[in-house]
Amino acid sequence: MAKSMNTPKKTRNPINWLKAWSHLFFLYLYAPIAVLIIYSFNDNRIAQVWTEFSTKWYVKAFTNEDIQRAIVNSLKVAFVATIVSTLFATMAALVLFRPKFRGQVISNAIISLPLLVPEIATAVATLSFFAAIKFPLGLTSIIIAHIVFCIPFAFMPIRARLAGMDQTLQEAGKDLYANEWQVFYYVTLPMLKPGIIAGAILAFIISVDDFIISLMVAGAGATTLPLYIYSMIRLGVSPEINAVSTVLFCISVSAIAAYWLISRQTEDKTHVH
Amino acid sequence: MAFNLPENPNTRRWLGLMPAILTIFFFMVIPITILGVFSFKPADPYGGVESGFSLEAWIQLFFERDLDDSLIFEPVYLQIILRSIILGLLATAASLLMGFPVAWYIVQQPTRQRDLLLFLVTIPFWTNLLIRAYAWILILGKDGMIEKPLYGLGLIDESLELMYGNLAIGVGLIYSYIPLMILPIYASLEKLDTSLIEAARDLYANRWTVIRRIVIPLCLPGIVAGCILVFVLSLGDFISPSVLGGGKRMMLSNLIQFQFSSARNWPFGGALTMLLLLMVAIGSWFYMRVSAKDGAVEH
Amino acid sequence: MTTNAIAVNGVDKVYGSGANAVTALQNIHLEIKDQEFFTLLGPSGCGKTTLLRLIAGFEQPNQGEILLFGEHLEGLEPNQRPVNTVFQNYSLFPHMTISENIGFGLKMQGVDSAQINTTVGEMLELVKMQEYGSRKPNQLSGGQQQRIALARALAPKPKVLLLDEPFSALDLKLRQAMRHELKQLQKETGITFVFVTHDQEEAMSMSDRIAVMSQGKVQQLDAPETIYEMPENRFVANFIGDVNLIEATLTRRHNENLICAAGAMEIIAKPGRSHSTLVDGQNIQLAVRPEKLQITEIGEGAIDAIVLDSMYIGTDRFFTAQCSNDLVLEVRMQNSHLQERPPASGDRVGLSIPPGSAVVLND
Repeated sequence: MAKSMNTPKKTRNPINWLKAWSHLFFLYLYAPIAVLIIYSFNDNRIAQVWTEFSTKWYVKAFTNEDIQRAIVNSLKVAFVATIVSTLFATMAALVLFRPKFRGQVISNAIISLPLLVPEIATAVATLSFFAAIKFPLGLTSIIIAHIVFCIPFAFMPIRARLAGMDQTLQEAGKDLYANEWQVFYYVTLPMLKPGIIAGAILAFIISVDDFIISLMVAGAGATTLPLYIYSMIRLGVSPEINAVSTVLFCISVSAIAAYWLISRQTEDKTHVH
Repeated sequence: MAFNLPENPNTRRWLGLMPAILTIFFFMVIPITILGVFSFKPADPYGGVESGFSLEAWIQLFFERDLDDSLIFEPVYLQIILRSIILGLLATAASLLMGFPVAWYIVQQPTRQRDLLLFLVTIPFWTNLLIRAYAWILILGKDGMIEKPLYGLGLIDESLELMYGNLAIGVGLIYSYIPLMILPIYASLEKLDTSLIEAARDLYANRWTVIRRIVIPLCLPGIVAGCILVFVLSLGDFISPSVLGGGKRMMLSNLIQFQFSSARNWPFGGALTMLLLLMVAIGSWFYMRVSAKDGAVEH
Repeated sequence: MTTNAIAVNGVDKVYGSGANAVTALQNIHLEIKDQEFFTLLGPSGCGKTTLLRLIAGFEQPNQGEILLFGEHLEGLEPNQRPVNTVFQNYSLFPHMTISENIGFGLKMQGVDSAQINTTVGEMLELVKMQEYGSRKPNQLSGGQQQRIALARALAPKPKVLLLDEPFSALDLKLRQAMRHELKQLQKETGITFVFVTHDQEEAMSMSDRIAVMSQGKVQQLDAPETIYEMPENRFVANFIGDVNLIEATLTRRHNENLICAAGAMEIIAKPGRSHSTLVDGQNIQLAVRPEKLQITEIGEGAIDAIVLDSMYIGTDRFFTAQCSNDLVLEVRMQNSHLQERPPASGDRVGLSIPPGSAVVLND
């Protein structure tokens, strides 16, 4: 038999094409943000002409009283919306993860409704509603609107956590003489905590970043940070926007990083069995 | 304990569910209903609606009133709706072509790297859409990152006018929603049993055939889910057209927002919103069918 | 002129690199004859599946070469190698019918559809599944899927069929039935089978030859009987069946046999492979299967012992007997050969080790 009829040839590896493409993709995903951040440290007034490193736009932005007010407004709205929506979502999740009951499907559907409805529709519908009941527009109207669409975001991680939870633990608690409140306080709640924190983080991010709904239901003087950025963008590119945007970007990224770490940790733990 | 939970499980359920459900019901379901009702009322020129019943808003979608009150077909709004649909479809197709290879690449990485790459895909999704659109002005705009080097090399001597057109809007849409294409595709690729790929390779299929005959058919639910998500979100997108389209090239969302602000034609805005919701409902229905089917295949 | 279906020459396989490097295979040499039913047997992690994957082309060796009927396989993708695999979990394509699954390999090879249909029919007949062609894999039971996986791998008429623990997902009864079928199928098709398993009974009952593997090395390569009767080392003796290991000293040689002393007991042992290097007075390791030992009346055996435990297991009875402080032996006797009242724990008995029933291990 002929020895080695097939001369060994190095086969072309298409993984490398894939790798190159994927790296390009990540470049595409992050280059605009990188440009934004880099130019926020540019000394030049004309945003696109680099002269030298400077943090003066940050100083300028944060000594601007309008921006300060916008940040305070954003945080006020986000804190209230996060707390209320997380509380509501936790209560609902505790009910909805249990064995099937009548109304479960429709309840799940209602809770996920804000995810399905396009933001612009939510925005104008909420505006019409407040107009119909003659509710004055302002921070309160923004907070109410934010609570609504934060609920499903807070709900998702909490329910995921409950679904991964060993139900016999609660039975074990009862078996060891804990009453219902004690089971909830000593067993369910501590185990649910990472899910609740994760849910709260998502709700917070979503609220801080929201623009369209705030745009429609904000009254005079209720400007949040994204609304302020939008009004600045309409005047054109400026290094101040870069600085404020970078700050908002960093808030979101650190929150989502915290979320990631928490959910990864809990995943590791629940995957033990 | 000072007080106990109600004994009846039904009472308990409703106590737990009520805050969330009622909030969403009162501040979302009812508002949308009100908006639907508004679309059948005459417009108040100072914003809001007047009492009475009117089909004017719905007629306005297709017709314009001439001086003598006769109706003339006027496709300008339909054109905006059509542009929204076409831009949405293009953004969806581009996201699929760009995103599928990335999802395929991520799935082939070791677990730790995979988690990190997925995280990198999701980060932009959780950051402000406005900022992300704005960042593209720095790139596409006059004297932006693309034009500047071209001027420098002497390749162009006037602006390419990349901004404020369909191209810029499309770039913005893709950039905004491509994570939502990659994630469901990744999820279905991850579920794919790799030994099926090996089995196909073993049975004389080359790499491309494996993707075509094994990977794509088995990941179709994820692909369809990603496409629907990107399409539905693109259709309702407000920021890309208003920031990158410069407000001149309107999409459906801008048209709606315009009716509730400068134009002060709430009924017409309501009718347009109902139309958008209808399209989204159709998309969601497909999505649920696909994900239900996906779930059925698993066991 | 070689008739080896597969020759593995000095193959190494290492996963990872640096401090994390794990050696999966170390300097493997083996030859698999044409039309042979060859089994790679070993515990999980011994490298047997890795070797199979190297032959199939899913992994590349770091060192050494693999030849298929004398031809180098290096650089050939799995789809370019005329070998097919039956996967552990069958890996049937869930979106294709049974017929499409079986015909997939032929289709990829560009065979025309009439020919594919004929072959698919033949294959369905071969595995006695004629009526199932139009079903989907998830409509079949585990055993049926197993047969389809076999049919699919056989359809392109591979030169070698690789089977990666194909029965591991089946229940015991089905697994035993499949052994006969598979052996039959191998005879009918005349294709070389390379079978990977961790189940010694499976390996024993089907194979022409077995390579026992552990820690990335081939520990012994022989026919099933030889492996059982003449294990070369402690690992093989322990892994295949039950065994008593006895520390002994070689006292002298008598013809082919070695006379050894273990405490007060004299044992006439068969030499293992390395007997020529042994010298008198050397400490050696002996292996004796429990069923070779015999329990006698006290004083009639080679040594006296106390029964520590007596366990009834159906056909047989297991005894644990203490001969001296540091020598405890397991004895297995068929119940049909035992007296009416078998020895119970605490009884004093005699134990005999028939000449040639112990074998010298080389470690």
